Amino acid sequence: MSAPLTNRIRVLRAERRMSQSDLAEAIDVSRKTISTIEVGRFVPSTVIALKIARYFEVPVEAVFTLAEDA
Amino acid sequence: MSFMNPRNPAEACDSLATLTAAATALVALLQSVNVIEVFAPEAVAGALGTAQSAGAVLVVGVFAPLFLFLKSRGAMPSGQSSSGSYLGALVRQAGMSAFSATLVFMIILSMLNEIVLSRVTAEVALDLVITFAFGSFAAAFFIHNRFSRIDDGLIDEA
Repeated sequence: MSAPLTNRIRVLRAERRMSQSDLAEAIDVSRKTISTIEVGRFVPSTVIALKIARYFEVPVEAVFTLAEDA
Repeated sequence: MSFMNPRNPAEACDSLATLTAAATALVALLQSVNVIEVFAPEAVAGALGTAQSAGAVLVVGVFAPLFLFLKSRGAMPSGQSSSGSYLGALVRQAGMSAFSATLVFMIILSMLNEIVLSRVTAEVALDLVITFAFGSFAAAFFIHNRFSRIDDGLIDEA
């Protein structure tokens, strides 16, 4: 079983007053993909993780963290 | 997301994945009629045949145009999608689960040679396996969507 992954996407979105749909459109994924990543039901590919981090202009570690490191 | 009005290719891709699972469930149901007909009374078998024809019309008349519409909106099969969408990953996981389940089903069927295979024709046995394969894919899609955590390359129970 993989280590639980936590993320700060909801916080980063809230800081920028963005909806899930806005973020989804910006990085070319569906809203369902963003919502399932946010709640931890879907562990995204490296490409999606990097796209999200690049969009928020933060390192990928600032978005995704292994639960044991949190 | 509106199923019929995807906002972008990624949404269209997710709609296509859901449509694929729904269509597969319907095809499994239609295919199962071939097996049920063998054991059902003649009158019931006739009615089942009519229902099967209606289902086939539904697949061709509704699902096929929807599939083409979503393709025209930029949807790609999950394996070719660069978006890495949740539902694309779900389709791949469901495919793997269905393959494993079908393999186990065929092994069990071969072990039950005396009880099952010796009593039905090869055509019926083949229909049974095809029904199971389609049905297990559709079931795996909806079960994983409801209860599992989808990972890139593996799947965990929630």
